[in-house]
Amino acid sequence: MLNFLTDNLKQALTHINLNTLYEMRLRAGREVKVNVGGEYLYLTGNGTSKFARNACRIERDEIDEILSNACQKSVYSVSEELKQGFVTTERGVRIGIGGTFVTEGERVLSVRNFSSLCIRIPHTVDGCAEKIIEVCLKELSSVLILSPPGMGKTTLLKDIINRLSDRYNLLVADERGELCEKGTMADAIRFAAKRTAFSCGLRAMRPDMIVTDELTDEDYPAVKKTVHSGVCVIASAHLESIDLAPKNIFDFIVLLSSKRVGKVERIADKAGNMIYG
Amino acid sequence: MAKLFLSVAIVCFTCFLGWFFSMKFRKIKDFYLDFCDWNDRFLTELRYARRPLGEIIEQIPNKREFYREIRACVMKGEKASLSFLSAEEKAYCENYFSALGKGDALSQQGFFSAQSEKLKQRGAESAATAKKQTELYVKLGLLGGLALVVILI
Repeated sequence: MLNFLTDNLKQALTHINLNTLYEMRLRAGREVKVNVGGEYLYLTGNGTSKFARNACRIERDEIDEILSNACQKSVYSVSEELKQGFVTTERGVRIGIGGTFVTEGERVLSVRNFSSLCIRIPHTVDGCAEKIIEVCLKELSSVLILSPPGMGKTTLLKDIINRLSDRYNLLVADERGELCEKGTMADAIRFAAKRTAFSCGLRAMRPDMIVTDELTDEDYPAVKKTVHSGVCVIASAHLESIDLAPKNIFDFIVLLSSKRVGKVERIADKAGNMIYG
Repeated sequence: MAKLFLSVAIVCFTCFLGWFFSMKFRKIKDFYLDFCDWNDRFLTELRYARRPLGEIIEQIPNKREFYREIRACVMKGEKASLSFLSAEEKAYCENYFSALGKGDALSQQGFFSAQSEKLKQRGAESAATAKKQTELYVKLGLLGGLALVVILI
Protein backbone atom coordinates (compact mmCIF):
# COMPACT_ATOMS: atom_id res chain seq x y z
CA MET A 1 0.00 0.00 0.00
CA LEU A 2 2.90 2.38 0.76
CA ASN A 3 5.06 1.30 -2.15
CA PHE A 4 5.30 4.86 -3.41
CA LEU A 5 7.51 5.90 -0.48
CA THR A 6 11.28 6.21 -0.73
CA ASP A 7 13.40 3.18 0.21
CA ASN A 8 14.60 4.62 3.53
CA LEU A 9 11.03 5.40 4.64
CA LYS A 10 9.86 1.93 3.60
CA GLN A 11 12.73 0.45 5.58
CA ALA A 12 11.87 2.55 8.66
CA LEU A 13 8.22 1.51 8.44
CA THR A 14 9.13 -2.18 8.66
CA HIS A 15 9.53 -1.56 12.42
CA ILE A 16 5.97 -0.27 12.78
CA ASN A 17 2.70 -2.17 12.92
CA LEU A 18 0.96 -0.77 9.85
CA ASN A 19 -2.46 -1.57 11.31
CA THR A 20 -1.90 1.18 13.87
CA LEU A 21 -0.35 3.68 11.45
CA TYR A 22 -2.94 6.36 10.62
CA GLU A 23 -0.95 9.18 9.14
CA MET A 24 2.49 10.31 8.01
CA ARG A 25 3.58 13.94 7.90
CA LEU A 26 6.44 14.77 5.59
CA ARG A 27 7.89 18.28 5.52
CA ALA A 28 10.82 19.28 3.32
CA GLY A 29 14.01 19.54 5.34
CA ARG A 30 12.34 18.32 8.53
CA GLU A 31 11.90 15.13 10.53
CA VAL A 32 9.16 12.71 9.56
CA LYS A 33 6.24 12.40 11.99
CA VAL A 34 3.80 9.53 12.12
CA ASN A 35 0.48 9.06 13.86
CA VAL A 36 0.62 5.64 15.44
CA GLY A 37 -2.42 4.58 17.44
CA GLY A 38 -3.55 8.21 17.74
CA GLU A 39 -0.20 9.54 19.01
CA TYR A 40 2.18 11.69 16.93
CA LEU A 41 5.75 10.42 17.09
CA TYR A 42 8.96 10.85 15.12
CA LEU A 43 9.85 8.10 12.66
CA THR A 44 13.35 6.73 13.20
CA GLY A 45 15.35 4.01 11.53
CA ASN A 46 14.36 1.62 14.32
CA GLY A 47 10.70 2.51 14.75
CA THR A 48 9.34 5.59 16.50
CA SER A 49 10.55 8.03 19.10
CA LYS A 50 9.12 10.93 21.08
CA PHE A 51 12.26 12.91 20.35
CA ALA A 52 13.44 14.39 17.06
CA ARG A 53 16.97 13.06 17.63
CA ASN A 54 17.74 10.20 15.17
CA ALA A 55 14.47 10.82 13.33
CA CYS A 56 14.33 10.24 9.56
CA ARG A 57 14.49 13.49 7.63
CA ILE A 58 12.98 14.17 4.26
CA GLU A 59 14.21 16.50 1.54
CA ARG A 60 12.33 18.31 -1.18
CA ASP A 61 13.52 16.03 -3.99
CA GLU A 62 12.29 13.02 -1.98
CA ILE A 63 8.88 14.67 -1.68
CA ASP A 64 8.86 15.08 -5.47
CA GLU A 65 9.88 11.44 -5.87
CA ILE A 66 7.12 10.23 -3.54
CA LEU A 67 4.51 12.26 -5.40
CA SER A 68 5.76 11.05 -8.75
CA ASN A 69 5.57 7.43 -7.55
CA ALA A 70 2.14 8.00 -6.00
CA CYS A 71 0.74 9.12 -9.35
CA GLN A 72 2.56 6.31 -11.19
CA LYS A 73 4.97 8.77 -12.80
CA SER A 74 2.03 10.42 -14.56
CA VAL A 75 1.33 13.79 -12.97
CA TYR A 76 -1.06 14.70 -15.81
CA SER A 77 -3.36 11.85 -14.76
CA VAL A 78 -4.00 13.51 -11.38
CA SER A 79 -3.76 17.18 -12.33
CA GLU A 80 -7.38 17.92 -11.40
CA GLU A 81 -6.92 16.38 -7.94
CA LEU A 82 -3.61 18.19 -7.52
CA LYS A 83 -5.38 21.49 -8.03
CA GLN A 84 -7.63 20.57 -5.09
CA GLY A 85 -4.55 19.85 -2.99
CA PHE A 86 -4.48 16.08 -2.88
CA VAL A 87 -3.63 12.91 -4.76
CA THR A 88 -5.19 9.51 -4.17
CA THR A 89 -3.01 6.52 -4.96
CA GLU A 90 -4.11 3.38 -6.75
CA ARG A 91 -4.68 1.68 -3.38
CA GLY A 92 -6.81 4.51 -1.92
CA VAL A 93 -4.12 6.23 0.13
CA ARG A 94 -4.88 9.94 0.20
CA ILE A 95 -1.96 12.35 0.10
CA GLY A 96 -2.63 15.96 1.02
CA ILE A 97 -0.20 18.41 -0.56
CA GLY A 98 1.34 21.63 0.67
CA GLY A 99 3.27 23.82 -1.74
CA THR A 100 2.90 26.87 -3.93
CA PHE A 101 -0.53 27.08 -5.54
CA VAL A 102 -0.47 29.01 -8.81
CA THR A 103 -3.81 30.79 -9.13
CA GLU A 104 -5.66 33.01 -11.56
CA GLY A 105 -8.45 34.75 -9.69
CA GLU A 106 -10.01 32.00 -7.61
CA ARG A 107 -9.01 29.28 -10.05
CA VAL A 108 -6.03 27.10 -9.23
CA LEU A 109 -3.90 26.61 -12.34
CA SER A 110 -1.27 24.29 -10.90
CA VAL A 111 0.75 23.45 -7.82
CA ARG A 112 4.54 23.67 -7.70
CA ASN A 113 7.35 23.55 -5.14
CA PHE A 114 5.79 20.76 -3.13
CA SER A 115 6.96 21.27 0.44
CA SER A 116 4.87 18.96 2.61
CA LEU A 117 2.75 15.86 2.37
CA CYS A 118 0.11 14.48 4.70
CA ILE A 119 -0.29 10.78 3.93
CA ARG A 120 -3.46 9.31 5.39
CA ILE A 121 -3.45 5.54 5.50
CA PRO A 122 -6.93 4.08 5.09
CA HIS A 123 -8.04 1.23 7.32
CA THR A 124 -10.87 -1.21 7.10
CA VAL A 125 -12.44 -1.88 10.47
CA ASP A 126 -15.07 -4.57 10.05
CA GLY A 127 -18.17 -3.85 12.10
CA CYS A 128 -17.21 -0.32 13.14
CA ALA A 129 -20.49 1.02 11.70
CA GLU A 130 -22.57 -1.51 13.66
CA LYS A 131 -24.16 1.12 15.93
CA ILE A 132 -25.11 3.42 13.04
CA ILE A 133 -26.61 0.55 11.04
CA GLU A 134 -28.51 -0.70 14.10
CA VAL A 135 -29.98 2.70 15.02
CA CYS A 136 -30.32 4.49 11.68
CA LEU A 137 -30.23 2.02 8.82
CA LYS A 138 -32.65 -0.77 9.69
CA GLU A 139 -34.52 0.56 6.68
CA LEU A 140 -33.52 3.02 3.98
CA SER A 141 -32.79 6.40 5.57
CA SER A 142 -30.59 9.40 4.97
CA VAL A 143 -27.76 9.81 7.46
CA LEU A 144 -25.17 12.52 7.97
CA ILE A 145 -22.07 11.66 9.99
CA LEU A 146 -20.28 14.57 11.65
CA SER A 147 -16.86 14.93 13.21
CA PRO A 148 -13.68 16.98 12.96
CA PRO A 149 -11.07 15.64 10.48
CA GLY A 150 -9.33 12.39 11.29
CA MET A 151 -11.96 10.89 13.56
CA GLY A 152 -12.91 7.92 11.38
CA LYS A 153 -15.75 9.13 9.14
CA THR A 154 -14.30 7.60 5.99
CA THR A 155 -13.63 4.26 7.72
CA LEU A 156 -17.24 4.22 8.97
CA LEU A 157 -18.56 5.00 5.50
CA LYS A 158 -16.43 2.21 4.02
CA ASP A 159 -17.86 -0.25 6.52
CA ILE A 160 -21.40 0.94 5.73
CA ILE A 161 -20.71 0.44 2.00
CA ASN A 162 -19.32 -3.05 2.59
CA ARG A 163 -22.25 -4.11 4.73
CA LEU A 164 -25.12 -2.56 2.79
CA SER A 165 -23.96 -3.10 -0.77
CA ASP A 166 -25.34 -6.65 -0.80
CA ARG A 167 -28.76 -5.48 0.37
CA TYR A 168 -29.30 -2.31 -1.66
CA ASN A 169 -28.25 -0.74 -4.94
CA LEU A 170 -25.60 1.53 -3.53
CA LEU A 171 -23.95 4.26 -5.55
CA VAL A 172 -20.73 5.71 -4.16
CA ALA A 173 -19.98 9.29 -5.20
CA ASP A 174 -16.28 8.88 -4.55
CA GLU A 175 -14.82 12.31 -5.23
CA ARG A 176 -11.39 11.48 -3.82
CA GLY A 177 -11.22 7.83 -4.83
CA GLU A 178 -10.86 6.51 -1.29
CA LEU A 179 -14.30 5.14 -0.43
CA CYS A 180 -15.01 2.34 -2.81
CA GLU A 181 -12.79 -0.70 -2.45
CA LYS A 182 -12.32 -3.35 -5.09
CA GLY A 183 -14.70 -6.26 -4.72
CA THR A 184 -17.69 -4.46 -3.20
CA MET A 185 -21.09 -4.74 -4.85
CA ALA A 186 -21.54 -0.96 -4.93
CA ASP A 187 -21.47 1.14 -8.10
CA ALA A 188 -18.99 3.98 -8.02
CA ILE A 189 -18.51 7.31 -9.75
CA ARG A 190 -14.94 8.24 -8.96
CA PHE A 191 -13.17 11.60 -9.04
CA ALA A 192 -16.24 13.51 -10.25
CA ALA A 193 -17.56 16.54 -8.37
CA LYS A 194 -20.45 15.55 -6.11
CA ARG A 195 -23.00 17.53 -8.08
CA THR A 196 -22.00 15.74 -11.28
CA ALA A 197 -21.94 12.34 -9.59
CA PHE A 198 -25.35 12.90 -8.00
CA SER A 199 -27.07 14.04 -11.18
CA CYS A 200 -25.45 11.43 -13.44
CA GLY A 201 -25.88 8.64 -10.93
CA LEU A 202 -29.50 9.49 -10.22
CA ARG A 203 -30.42 9.41 -13.90
CA ALA A 204 -28.27 6.52 -15.03
CA MET A 205 -27.74 4.11 -12.15
CA ARG A 206 -31.13 4.12 -10.34
CA PRO A 207 -29.61 3.79 -6.86
CA ASP A 208 -31.48 3.10 -3.61
CA MET A 209 -28.88 5.00 -1.72
CA ILE A 210 -25.95 7.31 -2.52
CA VAL A 211 -22.92 7.35 -0.23
CA THR A 212 -20.47 10.23 -0.27
CA ASP A 213 -17.75 11.79 1.85
CA GLU A 214 -17.07 15.30 3.15
CA LEU A 215 -20.04 17.43 2.13
CA THR A 216 -19.55 21.17 1.96
CA ASP A 217 -22.14 23.97 1.87
CA GLU A 218 -22.11 23.97 -1.94
CA ASP A 219 -23.08 20.29 -2.02
CA TYR A 220 -26.24 20.55 0.10
CA PRO A 221 -28.60 21.70 -2.73
CA ALA A 222 -27.67 18.58 -4.76
CA VAL A 223 -28.11 16.35 -1.69
CA LYS A 224 -31.48 17.95 -0.92
CA LYS A 225 -32.65 17.42 -4.49
CA THR A 226 -31.56 13.78 -4.33
CA VAL A 227 -33.32 13.13 -1.00
CA HIS A 228 -36.50 14.83 -2.27
CA SER A 229 -36.42 12.64 -5.34
CA GLY A 230 -36.69 9.60 -3.07
CA VAL A 231 -33.10 8.38 -2.98
CA CYS A 232 -31.41 8.19 0.42
CA VAL A 233 -28.03 9.77 1.03
CA ILE A 234 -25.41 8.71 3.53
CA ALA A 235 -22.71 11.31 3.88
CA SER A 236 -20.14 12.81 6.18
CA ALA A 237 -19.15 16.38 6.92
CA HIS A 238 -16.50 18.23 8.89
CA LEU A 239 -18.72 19.65 11.60
CA GLU A 240 -18.28 19.42 15.34
CA SER A 241 -21.86 19.95 16.47
CA ILE A 242 -25.29 18.62 15.47
CA ASP A 243 -26.63 22.20 15.59
CA LEU A 244 -24.38 23.13 12.67
CA ALA A 245 -25.81 20.40 10.41
CA PRO A 246 -28.35 21.37 7.71
CA LYS A 247 -31.95 20.92 8.79
CA ASN A 248 -34.70 18.90 7.07
CA ILE A 249 -32.49 16.91 4.72
CA PHE A 250 -31.26 13.92 6.70
CA ASP A 251 -33.34 11.47 8.76
CA PHE A 252 -30.51 11.03 11.23
CA ILE A 253 -27.47 13.06 12.23
CA VAL A 254 -24.64 11.12 13.84
CA LEU A 255 -21.97 12.94 15.84
CA LEU A 256 -18.69 11.15 16.41
CA SER A 257 -16.55 11.64 19.47
CA SER A 258 -13.74 14.16 19.05
CA LYS A 259 -11.63 12.21 21.52
CA ARG A 260 -11.90 8.59 20.38
CA VAL A 261 -11.61 7.59 16.72
CA GLY A 262 -14.79 6.05 15.30
CA LYS A 263 -16.87 6.25 18.51
CA VAL A 264 -20.49 7.38 18.06
CA GLU A 265 -21.24 10.07 20.65
CA ARG A 266 -24.77 11.13 19.78
CA ILE A 267 -27.49 10.46 17.23
CA ALA A 268 -30.32 12.88 16.55
CA ASP A 269 -33.42 12.27 14.44
CA LYS A 270 -34.88 14.64 11.83
CA ALA A 271 -36.79 16.60 14.46
CA GLY A 272 -33.60 17.14 16.46
CA ASN A 273 -34.48 14.68 19.25
CA MET A 274 -31.54 12.76 20.70
CA ILE A 275 -32.20 9.09 20.18
CA TYR A 276 -28.76 7.92 21.26
CA GLY A 277 -26.11 9.31 23.64
CA MET B 1 24.77 -25.66 -65.31
CA ALA B 2 26.46 -25.98 -61.92
CA LYS B 3 28.40 -22.80 -62.63
CA LEU B 4 25.18 -20.96 -63.39
CA PHE B 5 23.59 -22.12 -60.16
CA LEU B 6 26.73 -21.16 -58.22
CA SER B 7 26.79 -17.70 -59.84
CA VAL B 8 23.13 -17.08 -58.96
CA ALA B 9 23.74 -18.30 -55.40
CA ILE B 10 26.74 -15.96 -54.98
CA VAL B 11 24.82 -12.95 -56.31
CA CYS B 12 21.81 -13.75 -54.09
CA PHE B 13 24.09 -14.10 -51.10
CA THR B 14 25.89 -10.80 -51.65
CA CYS B 15 22.56 -9.03 -52.24
CA PHE B 16 21.35 -10.50 -48.97
CA LEU B 17 24.50 -9.21 -47.27
CA GLY B 18 23.78 -5.75 -48.68
CA TRP B 19 20.22 -5.93 -47.36
CA PHE B 20 21.47 -7.23 -44.02
CA PHE B 21 24.02 -4.44 -43.55
CA SER B 22 21.40 -1.79 -44.31
CA MET B 23 19.20 -3.12 -41.49
CA LYS B 24 20.37 -0.36 -39.13
CA PHE B 25 18.66 2.26 -41.32
CA ARG B 26 15.40 0.35 -41.38
CA LYS B 27 15.62 -0.06 -37.61
CA ILE B 28 15.88 3.74 -37.26
CA LYS B 29 12.91 4.13 -39.64
CA ASP B 30 10.81 1.70 -37.57
CA PHE B 31 11.91 3.45 -34.40
CA TYR B 32 10.62 6.81 -35.62
CA LEU B 33 7.48 5.23 -37.03
CA ASP B 34 6.67 3.85 -33.56
CA PHE B 35 7.79 7.11 -31.94
CA CYS B 36 5.30 9.14 -34.05
CA ASP B 37 2.59 6.58 -33.33
CA TRP B 38 3.30 6.78 -29.59
CA ASN B 39 3.28 10.59 -29.59
CA ASP B 40 -0.14 10.71 -31.30
CA ARG B 41 -1.46 8.06 -28.95
CA PHE B 42 -0.16 9.92 -25.89
CA LEU B 43 -1.67 13.22 -27.07
CA THR B 44 -5.05 11.52 -27.41
CA GLU B 45 -4.66 10.16 -23.89
CA LEU B 46 -3.85 13.64 -22.58
CA ARG B 47 -6.95 15.04 -24.24
CA TYR B 48 -9.37 12.35 -23.06
CA ALA B 49 -8.68 9.36 -20.83
CA ARG B 50 -5.50 10.56 -19.06
CA ARG B 51 -4.51 7.07 -17.95
CA PRO B 52 -1.16 6.66 -16.19
CA LEU B 53 1.83 5.93 -18.44
CA GLY B 54 2.27 2.35 -17.23
CA GLU B 55 -1.32 1.51 -18.13
CA ILE B 56 -0.99 2.98 -21.62
CA ILE B 57 2.34 1.31 -22.36
CA GLU B 58 1.23 -2.09 -21.08
CA GLN B 59 -1.74 -2.09 -23.44
CA ILE B 60 0.43 -1.67 -26.51
CA PRO B 61 1.35 -5.10 -27.88
CA ASN B 62 4.20 -3.72 -29.99
CA LYS B 63 7.51 -5.17 -28.77
CA ARG B 64 9.81 -3.32 -31.18
CA GLU B 65 12.83 -1.22 -30.17
CA PHE B 66 10.97 2.00 -29.36
CA TYR B 67 8.51 0.37 -26.97
CA ARG B 68 11.31 -1.65 -25.34
CA GLU B 69 13.14 1.62 -24.71
CA ILE B 70 10.13 3.53 -23.43
CA ARG B 71 9.27 0.68 -21.06
CA ALA B 72 12.82 0.61 -19.69
CA CYS B 73 13.28 4.39 -19.42
CA VAL B 74 9.90 5.51 -18.16
CA MET B 75 8.76 2.59 -16.05
CA LYS B 76 12.05 1.16 -14.78
CA GLY B 77 14.03 4.42 -14.71
CA GLU B 78 16.85 2.93 -16.79
CA LYS B 79 19.02 4.95 -19.16
CA ALA B 80 18.21 4.77 -22.86
CA SER B 81 20.63 2.54 -24.80
CA LEU B 82 19.63 3.42 -28.40
CA SER B 83 23.06 2.57 -29.79
CA PHE B 84 21.82 2.78 -33.39
CA LEU B 85 20.95 6.49 -33.07
CA SER B 86 23.32 9.43 -33.46
CA ALA B 87 24.35 11.36 -30.33
CA GLU B 88 21.97 14.20 -31.24
CA GLU B 89 19.06 11.83 -31.81
CA LYS B 90 19.82 10.00 -28.56
CA ALA B 91 19.86 13.28 -26.60
CA TYR B 92 16.52 14.21 -28.16
CA CYS B 93 14.99 10.86 -27.14
CA GLU B 94 16.35 11.10 -23.60
CA ASN B 95 14.91 14.58 -23.27
CA TYR B 96 11.56 13.36 -24.61
CA PHE B 97 11.42 10.37 -22.24
CA SER B 98 12.39 12.46 -19.24
CA ALA B 99 9.53 14.90 -19.93
CA LEU B 100 6.89 12.16 -20.04
CA GLY B 101 4.44 12.43 -17.15
CA LYS B 102 6.31 15.29 -15.48
CA GLY B 103 3.66 18.01 -15.72
CA ASP B 104 -0.06 18.60 -15.70
CA ALA B 105 -2.19 17.70 -18.70
CA LEU B 106 -2.16 21.17 -20.22
CA SER B 107 1.61 21.66 -20.15
CA GLN B 108 2.16 18.10 -21.38
CA GLN B 109 -0.21 18.71 -24.28
CA GLY B 110 1.70 21.85 -25.22
CA PHE B 111 5.07 20.13 -25.08
CA PHE B 112 4.13 16.93 -26.90
CA SER B 113 2.09 18.71 -29.57
CA ALA B 114 5.24 20.69 -30.34
CA GLN B 115 7.16 17.40 -30.68
CA SER B 116 4.65 16.02 -33.16
CA GLU B 117 5.93 18.00 -36.15
CA LYS B 118 9.57 17.35 -35.28
CA LEU B 119 8.92 13.63 -35.02
CA LYS B 120 7.05 13.52 -38.31
CA GLN B 121 9.95 15.27 -39.98
CA ARG B 122 12.48 12.89 -38.42
CA GLY B 123 10.26 9.96 -39.42
CA ALA B 124 10.07 11.13 -43.05
CA GLU B 125 13.83 11.72 -43.16
CA SER B 126 14.62 8.31 -41.68
CA ALA B 127 12.21 6.59 -44.11
CA ALA B 128 13.89 8.31 -47.07
CA THR B 129 17.35 7.43 -45.74
CA ALA B 130 16.33 3.81 -45.12
CA LYS B 131 15.00 3.49 -48.70
CA LYS B 132 18.05 5.12 -50.20
CA GLN B 133 20.58 3.18 -48.12
CA THR B 134 18.84 -0.18 -48.61
CA GLU B 135 18.84 0.32 -52.39
CA LEU B 136 22.49 1.39 -52.30
CA TYR B 137 23.61 -1.54 -50.14
CA VAL B 138 21.67 -4.09 -52.23
CA LYS B 139 23.10 -2.64 -55.45
CA LEU B 140 26.59 -2.79 -53.95
CA GLY B 141 25.88 -6.39 -52.96
CA LEU B 142 24.76 -7.14 -56.50
CA LEU B 143 27.84 -5.54 -58.02
CA GLY B 144 30.12 -7.25 -55.51
CA GLY B 145 28.44 -10.56 -56.26
CA LEU B 146 28.87 -10.10 -60.00
CA ALA B 147 32.52 -9.17 -59.52
CA LEU B 148 33.03 -12.26 -57.41
CA VAL B 149 31.37 -14.41 -60.07
CA VAL B 150 33.63 -12.96 -62.76
CA ILE B 151 36.73 -13.56 -60.61
CA LEU B 152 35.77 -17.07 -59.50
CA ILE B 153 34.14 -18.43 -62.67
